[in-house]
Amino acid sequence: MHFFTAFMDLVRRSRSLDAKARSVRLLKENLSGAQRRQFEKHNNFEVVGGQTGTRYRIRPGPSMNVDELDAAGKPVAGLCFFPAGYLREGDVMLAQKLALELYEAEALTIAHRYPSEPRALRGAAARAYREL
Amino acid sequence: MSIQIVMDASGDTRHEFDVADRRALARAEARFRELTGRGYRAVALAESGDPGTGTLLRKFDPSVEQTLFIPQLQGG
Repeated sequence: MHFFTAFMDLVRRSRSLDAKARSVRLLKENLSGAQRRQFEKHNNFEVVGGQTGTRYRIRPGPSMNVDELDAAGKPVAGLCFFPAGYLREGDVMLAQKLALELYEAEALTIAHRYPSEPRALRGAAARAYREL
Repeated sequence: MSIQIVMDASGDTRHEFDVADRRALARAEARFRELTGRGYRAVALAESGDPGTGTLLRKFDPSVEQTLFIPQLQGG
């Protein structure tokens, strides 16, 4: 019985890693060249809002992972919005990118806007998500 | 072949279909209506991935080769 439980845990973990890898592959396939280079170097990428021209940075995370940037590229606010359902990291980031580029007004209406958070807190949230 | 990609917990689920096959095309259109009716956004993916080159689809377009379905957004 103990062996069976351990085996099923292994299967679940393997499926979870596979799902995450698939989502990151789909994300990379749909980033522009500049966004892909940013993502590979910094593990985040910038998006320009399709309607307002505002710059945003999307970081890995289940939520609270989108920064609104000023002209100098510094975060001025955080945006919390994400696709419904239990989606993987790459899917969440791709959904956020496409929403900001193609239906920004709707995304901003839905998003919870909050003051930009301390960098240390952001790092802790991203680390916790990566360990899922 | 055209493809519909639906984001889900497995990463994504892919449905390929041949636009010359009328039954497959009808199934693809039905899937489009069903998902968008549930709040999914349908995006025609561009090959380059360049900003703004994807297109938000309001109705089924058989000429689109790759359609991505994104679940409805929610705020935190």
